[in-house]
Amino acid sequence: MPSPPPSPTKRVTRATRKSDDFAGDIHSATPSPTKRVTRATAKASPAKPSPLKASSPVKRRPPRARTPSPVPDSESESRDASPPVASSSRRASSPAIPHPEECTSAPSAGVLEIPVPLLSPNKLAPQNCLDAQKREILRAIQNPPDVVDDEESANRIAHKQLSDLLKGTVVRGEGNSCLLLGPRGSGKTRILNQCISELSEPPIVLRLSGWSQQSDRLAMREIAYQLSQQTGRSFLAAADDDEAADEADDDEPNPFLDTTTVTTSLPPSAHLPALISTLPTLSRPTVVVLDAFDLFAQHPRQSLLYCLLDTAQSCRGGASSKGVAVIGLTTHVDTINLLEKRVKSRFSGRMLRTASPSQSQDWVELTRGILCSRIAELDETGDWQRQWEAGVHSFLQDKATIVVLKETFSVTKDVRVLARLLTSVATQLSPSAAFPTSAQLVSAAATQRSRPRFSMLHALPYPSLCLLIACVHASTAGHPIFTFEMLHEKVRDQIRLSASAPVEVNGGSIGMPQCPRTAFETLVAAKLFTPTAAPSASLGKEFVKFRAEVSREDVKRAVQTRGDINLTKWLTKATQ
Amino acid sequence: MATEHPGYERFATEISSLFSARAPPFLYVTDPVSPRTTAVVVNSVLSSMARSDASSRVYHAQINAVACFNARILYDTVLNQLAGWQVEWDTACTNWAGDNEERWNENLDGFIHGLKTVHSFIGRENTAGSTKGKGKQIESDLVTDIRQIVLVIERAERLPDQMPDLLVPLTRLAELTRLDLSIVFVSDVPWEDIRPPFGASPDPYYVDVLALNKEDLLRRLGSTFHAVSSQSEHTNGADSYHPSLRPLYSQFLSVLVDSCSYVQDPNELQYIAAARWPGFVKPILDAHNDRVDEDVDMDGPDEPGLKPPSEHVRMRLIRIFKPSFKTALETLYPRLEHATSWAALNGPEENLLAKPANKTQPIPDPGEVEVDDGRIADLPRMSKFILVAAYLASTNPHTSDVRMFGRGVDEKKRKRRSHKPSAKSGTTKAPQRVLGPNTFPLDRLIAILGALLEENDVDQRLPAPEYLIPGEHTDMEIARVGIYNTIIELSDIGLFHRTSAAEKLDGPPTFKCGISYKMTSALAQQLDIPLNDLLWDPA
Repeated sequence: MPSPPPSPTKRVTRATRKSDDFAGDIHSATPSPTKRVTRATAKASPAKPSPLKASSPVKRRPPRARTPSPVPDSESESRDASPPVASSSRRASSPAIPHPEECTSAPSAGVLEIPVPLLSPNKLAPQNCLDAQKREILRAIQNPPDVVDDEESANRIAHKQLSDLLKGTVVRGEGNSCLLLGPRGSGKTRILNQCISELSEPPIVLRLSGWSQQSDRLAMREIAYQLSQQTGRSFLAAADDDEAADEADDDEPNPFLDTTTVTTSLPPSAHLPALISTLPTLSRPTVVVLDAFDLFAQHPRQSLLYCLLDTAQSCRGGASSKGVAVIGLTTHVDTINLLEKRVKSRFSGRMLRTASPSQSQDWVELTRGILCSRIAELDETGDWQRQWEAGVHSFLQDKATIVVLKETFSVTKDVRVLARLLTSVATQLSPSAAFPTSAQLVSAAATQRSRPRFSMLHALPYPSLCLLIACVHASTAGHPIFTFEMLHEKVRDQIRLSASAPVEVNGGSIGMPQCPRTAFETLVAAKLFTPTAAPSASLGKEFVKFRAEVSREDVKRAVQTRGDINLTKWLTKATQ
Repeated sequence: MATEHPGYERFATEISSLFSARAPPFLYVTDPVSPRTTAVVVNSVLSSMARSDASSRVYHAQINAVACFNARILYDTVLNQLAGWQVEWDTACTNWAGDNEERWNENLDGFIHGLKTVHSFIGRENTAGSTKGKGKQIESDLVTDIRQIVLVIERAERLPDQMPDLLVPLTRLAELTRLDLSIVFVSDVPWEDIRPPFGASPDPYYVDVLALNKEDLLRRLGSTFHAVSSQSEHTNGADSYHPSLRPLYSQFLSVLVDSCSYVQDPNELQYIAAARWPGFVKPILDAHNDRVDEDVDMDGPDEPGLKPPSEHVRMRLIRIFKPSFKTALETLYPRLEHATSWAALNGPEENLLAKPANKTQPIPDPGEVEVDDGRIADLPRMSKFILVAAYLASTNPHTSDVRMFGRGVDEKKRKRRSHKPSAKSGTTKAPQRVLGPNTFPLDRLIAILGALLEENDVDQRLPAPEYLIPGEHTDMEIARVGIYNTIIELSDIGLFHRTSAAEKLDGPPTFKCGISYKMTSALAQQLDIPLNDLLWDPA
């Protein structure tokens, strides 16, 4: 029997049992009453209790570290306690932006830098706090808090409707089907997991994904496997909770056993209707989650969808049979049009929509929420918490920060991009620059958001760059399609021309590079050159025709970054 | 931790702070210069984290997409590494099977189940190791500890070609397994080039690694000296990695890095340095051994230690060896020769330092000429003619043959294409020699061969009074079966490419020339043919 939902006070035991379930691939057996369980219950649950042990040494440190020097601490407190408005915080953050080292030499400049530079004997404590804060931020990023408080927001509505629907299935034994539509990163999976975990009675959850179950037979096998794992547990679990995961599919009087033990061959597809039609007869209600629903619609004859939706539709609430819910998650808006007529007629047509935060202010709030995530186990670090929050506040007051956030928001509303930006900011934090700065965010935006296509050209070896310039000249001369020999000849001519000023590096002439064939292959391997025709055995390697992916501008920028005079001259020279 | 990787401190810090808590589910590390070194750094950072830090345990598997060329090998390699399972011959090379003797390599679902099983297996392993025979409460308590699984895939650019179906599931592995799992791709190709279409994969967290600058490069290369010298025993005192040679080594490296400045990959530089260094210090070691030999009569065990060479000796060595750095680069970087054999060929003479300074030549001797392709070195004379004719037939347009080879009344008529760039049309035609060889029929080859022979071979033939008409002898020569035989032979060894099907009967067989301009001009020089006069568009 599944364990009854534990009381919210017994936090540790609940967490342990949950992670135990998760180890044994049973995700939904125990509901979690917390609001913040998101995306994957299993992912979220170990994060919470673990810091208890993870940083137990940290826990004891701060008071010990603080006692010898109460004066600077109180000073910092008093300064921090002053209203953290733009003026004081700007003053604090601005010196930290360009010269993080300078602050160590002139500690009075940065108020917020106090913990590290001033209290050199106490270095450990802020360091530990910073590390703990970093860890907490990284955790929060993978699991962003819900900041939109608006009751009318799309996600709230979707959450309510979905939980009503699931309740109907679980409590009243209805057969339901619905589609959860929304852009990437808008929280479809999170809402679903939340709803499932809030159910009063844990249902059997079958999770399929269009990415891994690429055919109906694979999907069927996976259904059989998951069913045997979960129903197996429900019989065994009461006796032995811990070993349930491992012994789940031992000797079970279970109709699906034969399909799982035959590991070498897939079951014939004729078994599919029989397998699906047993779903309502199980001891618990079933929730079938189809991630990437649109991919299932591309399977031949859509038989899996047909069987599932048919079962869900024909499911009659009653004592003998339990409910079945089929939930599809997809980003395709027109998924319903992909369904065949017979499948579509069995689908309820219910579509719930999720949305990303719709205003850039939400992003700012989200950023604050993520950055200010509390270090749960450190109750004594009130000072750190205050300082940190003031630092984050000044970070968010900075105009440059807001500009980057707004720009990013206007390009993409995907919260995961914001998560990447903040991850980058969090990894750049160090004891010498303990608080986030807008400069860090700007550099994070440069690498994480809409990256330039060829950002690393200048790092290419010298001969490769020569070949790139030669290909720019070739395309100017009207040969956008070139062979290696053409470029090689151009490079050779150029080197001969500039023989009076040969390639010089650090005062020593290295002469003509002798191995441009390798350089050329480097470029081909880096996909900067793409072949225009399939390779043939009769054509010499040096005569295979290629086309350049890089444009003149890219090469120009690379040469400028490199700052090599010879190359610049050659690039700007008229094509012969 | 960061100090273990000179030049990669920042990268190592970033990786370790990313994995200190919850890492992003998908990371993409781009290093256009030396992805191998980067992968080594990632792996060693992760394994040192797995060893040291107790609070966040990172279990990682490192796989190479070149070695794991199909899905099953990839699944097995990952699971075996995560479970710490050694595949052994004695146990029939079985893979890790968990408790229930299951197979995980059937398909992707099996792999995902395997990952989940291995995740719980790792948890049990740890608790079994730390708390033996204690209550279950403690066990389940420890299981909640952070256990991150990390898969590092090197050469990830191979994945789209080899396992196109697997790329998207791999990038979504964290959400498919619903574990705390990250996947790290290390590649020299940016993610944009291998990204699957329609946004099927989530975008990764990008980490860029740039090429090392010279100081970092020197530090990195120099650190290996220390590693090697601490490993060897220095029993005889005359080791090329003796600690007292370290200053010389760093000077050597500095010169080497300068002269190989367009190679930025530390691995390649290390390869060249390792090939050159023993030869470079050999004169010093020779001199040292000589001293030891002289002293050995007096007191055997009290061997004088190897002293760092004087500034004068250093400068002299560098002057002698500097040209060989370049040849080392040119030979060893494209791997034209094995490093050991190269080092043996380019070693210094015995007791170089004992000789007077003005008698020592830089290595290698400047008079050396490069050797040609071995295939054409000992071809018969007629084959050489055929090859030159084939090159001409492949490079010249066929309409030019009469002008180039015709022997009319007016010898002056032969003229080549003019080289003026036409002002009207923007594009100039690229010469055929860079575009690649054209196909030609056998008849044309024979005709050009006849013309070549008539021009350049007549004088060297034995007198044949039976041929009266001029050119009759040549006609006789080119009609021999031997010529056809030679052509087939040459196409068999790849100097020609036959472009028509072998079983085709109608029409003459067609060929393509398979040798380069360089080789042809070498042949023409041997045969005393003025090649550039016969080319339609000479270089």
